[in-house]
Amino acid sequence: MAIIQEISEYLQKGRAKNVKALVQQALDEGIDPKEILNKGLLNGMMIIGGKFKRNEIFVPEVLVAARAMNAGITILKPKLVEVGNEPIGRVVIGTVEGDLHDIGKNLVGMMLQGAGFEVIDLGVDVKPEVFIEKAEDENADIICMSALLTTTMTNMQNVIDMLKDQNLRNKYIIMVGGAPVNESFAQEIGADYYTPDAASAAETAKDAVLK
Amino acid sequence: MEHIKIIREFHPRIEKEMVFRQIQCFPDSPVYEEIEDTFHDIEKNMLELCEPAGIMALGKIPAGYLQQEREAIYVLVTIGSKLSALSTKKFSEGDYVQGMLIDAVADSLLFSLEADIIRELRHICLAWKKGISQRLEAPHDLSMHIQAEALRQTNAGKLLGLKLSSGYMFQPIKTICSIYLTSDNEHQFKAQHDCRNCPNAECLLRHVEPLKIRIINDKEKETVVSMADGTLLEAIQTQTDTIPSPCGGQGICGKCRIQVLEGYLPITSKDQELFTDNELADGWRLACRAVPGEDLTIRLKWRNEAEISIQTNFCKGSGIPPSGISSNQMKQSGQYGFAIDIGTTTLAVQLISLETGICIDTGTRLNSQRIHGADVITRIQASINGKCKEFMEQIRSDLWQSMEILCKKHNISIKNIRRIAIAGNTVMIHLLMGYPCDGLGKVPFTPYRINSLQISGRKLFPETDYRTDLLIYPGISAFVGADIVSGLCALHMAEEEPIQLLIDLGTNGEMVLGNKNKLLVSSTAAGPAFEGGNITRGTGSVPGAISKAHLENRSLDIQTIQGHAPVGICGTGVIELAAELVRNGEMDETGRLKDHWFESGFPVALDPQGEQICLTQKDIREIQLAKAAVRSGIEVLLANYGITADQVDLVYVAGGFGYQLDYEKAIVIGMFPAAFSEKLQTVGNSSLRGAAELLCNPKIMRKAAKTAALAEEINLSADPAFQEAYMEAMFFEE
Repeated sequence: MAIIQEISEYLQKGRAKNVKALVQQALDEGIDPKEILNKGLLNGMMIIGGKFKRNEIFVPEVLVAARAMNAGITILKPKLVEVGNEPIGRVVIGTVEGDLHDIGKNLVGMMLQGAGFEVIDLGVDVKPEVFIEKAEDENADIICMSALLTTTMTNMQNVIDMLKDQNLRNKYIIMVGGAPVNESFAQEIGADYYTPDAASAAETAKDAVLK
Repeated sequence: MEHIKIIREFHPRIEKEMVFRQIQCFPDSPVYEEIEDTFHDIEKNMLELCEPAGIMALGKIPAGYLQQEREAIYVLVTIGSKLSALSTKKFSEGDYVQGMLIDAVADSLLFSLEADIIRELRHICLAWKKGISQRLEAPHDLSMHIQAEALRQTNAGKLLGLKLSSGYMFQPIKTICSIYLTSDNEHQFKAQHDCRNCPNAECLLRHVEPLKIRIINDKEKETVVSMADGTLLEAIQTQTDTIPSPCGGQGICGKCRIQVLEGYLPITSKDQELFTDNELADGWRLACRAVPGEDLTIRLKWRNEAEISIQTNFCKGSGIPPSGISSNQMKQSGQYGFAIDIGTTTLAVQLISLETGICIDTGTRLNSQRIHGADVITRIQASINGKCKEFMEQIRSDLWQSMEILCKKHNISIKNIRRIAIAGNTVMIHLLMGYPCDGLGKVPFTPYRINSLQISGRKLFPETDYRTDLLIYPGISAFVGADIVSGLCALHMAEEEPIQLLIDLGTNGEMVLGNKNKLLVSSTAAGPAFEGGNITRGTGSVPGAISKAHLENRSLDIQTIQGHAPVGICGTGVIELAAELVRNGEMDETGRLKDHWFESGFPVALDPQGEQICLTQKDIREIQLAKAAVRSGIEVLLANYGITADQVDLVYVAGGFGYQLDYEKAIVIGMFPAAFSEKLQTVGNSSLRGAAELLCNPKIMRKAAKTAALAEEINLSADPAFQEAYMEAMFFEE
């Protein structure tokens, strides 16, 4: 459908106003809100994510596109609730205790939203018990942890150990990221996935919950 | 007295450039303007939400953090919590652009308080009679627990309302804790953050001062290059000299070997393949693979090797930015400048990063004025006859075009050009500035203005940024101009003890002899023969120009530039041919060709059209005039200085030779005294090099003024000894 394609394209250009207007128009035309979301907004964001991953575009372009996506979702949300659309999954995300870096974490949160997740952002300097409490409260599927310092990355392990102690480890998919983190570290501490950038994080999360 | 001080006076500033760098938004981004608009919308509000507060206290770092207990000053500074709260809110609302911008703005505001902190710290150090020996930060230098000490010892919880989480993070989040080790030396003040020691290599705000590499060559002459990125070979090649690297920097040929004298340079796998253990222990490394992590002193050994065939441009513009610097990175480090050498025939314009000193690219073009006359005398006449304004516009437009081309090529905005440094001979500077040339054209040859110039770049190039400075070297006289002063500065001739001679082998052969105590300058009318001018089949240094000759048993071997089919004879070819003819007795010491060559000339090669390229008797006479002018100039300078040729320590040859001149052959034809044999060194375009140095360090202008003032001009034509020396030097005798 041409209008859906247009929504995706305007989103990629970051034109919030056009996206908003077109989403409204599509709803007025009686198009399924789920289709507008998945094939219009989220599809556009997925393309942006791919370009970002391949270094074809940079952070500012992603931000502007995400802003446009959000403008569209704001219009769409009441209709989605009406038709009972469920997000593909729920994620709690935060920067681990002792670490204040939140930009990388925010980007991952943004891309996860773009992939159709509901994202609960716990902020920075998040204590291990808070990750677990919130994950339980929000009935989350995934716990995402970020660390930018070599001194704080070990706090990721504390969360995983605490989950094991409470027999909750298998209930959650655990994803880790941040400059000092790598694949072998993720394996060592018993995380499920490590991803090097925000776009891959969203793709991996999607694959993981749909598996 | 209680050693705690609350800081109330702050001047928070938002640095737009830093904010945009942090969110990786550059002017070439398709959404740059949109982000910029958002930035301007929120900018003022951000300043209002910023609530700076700071505290400093003299205290102790307890034993256990460092090797022993140390006295230190704890500093805490914050911008309050409103900005981070707003950023979080915007993110949760899905306005990622504002969320991200506000966070970056908050960081910029927080870092801007550093200047106030440093100022306060200075005052307090004076009051407390303390020096600062080092700045420490958690978690890199000290464990995070030190933040609890900082809070306790400054009493910032009570005094500023700061809190610490169980993860040792401050609330508000945008708070910086720094700890300064004190010393008893009140004059010591090493309080700045040093990015080089910071392990946060991914930091988008990382700014590492370029490394200093001191280079000592086999003449014990020292130069310093700076490098921020790339390999040692690239740094040296772009900034000082050509090191042979026939394999193109692949670490195969081993020709770019250097020896590390001071500092540590890691051993690479290629080093291990090419050097023995003893050599590695002696510091031998390949420059093409070397990526230094600290300042070094190195020795170059390659000058003795035979394979240098390309002109050693003083500052070789390879045309390619040093690899490792992507153009995106270059754009981040904002400030650039142009070094310019205005020659009578050619213009050289070099784009240089003011932050790293690295030459990014060099552009050359022909001086458009040349159609109005090849040499300075005809230019002076034309200018007097009404071409003054036209010449001025022509040269400015030539230079501007070169600058624009380089900026475009490297994606650099004209706005980022902060300085332009210019050297050129006196006539060229007159034409550039639009000065009347009347005084230059007649005895006693008085320049209209010869002093250095420091003006706004907009006076000459209206499209440059209003902050752009334009610097022009001072000249010495109508004949010895800013280009020579520039070269002298580049070679440090007026600062050193050894007696050195600089010879610029152009049409107007300038020479400078002396050291830091005495400097004699003069110019000698060498004519255009050394540039292939007035030679029947003469040519510039173009591909196919005959540049080398060897005659043995009546069989002549020639080499052309780049091995192309012969098209003519360039300056070095002329000298080599003359030398070979003398050596083989094909012409006598008066310069007369043997009878059978006298009419038609000596056959050198066939050109692609099948025509014979000959060196004629007339050509020989031209060479004689040119080389006699140079030699007699040298002799008169030496005599005036009161020394002989062997008392000269080093001889630099600068100027028009496109190809490496074989000095032994120049000595064979008597152009240089035999005593110079081991002392001659080609320096390429020393004028351009001097302009580059002035560009990177405008303080050199003072040195230039001193050099110009020290120089004493010898007027050769008025010196009776010159005529005699000139006649003598005309002959082909060693």
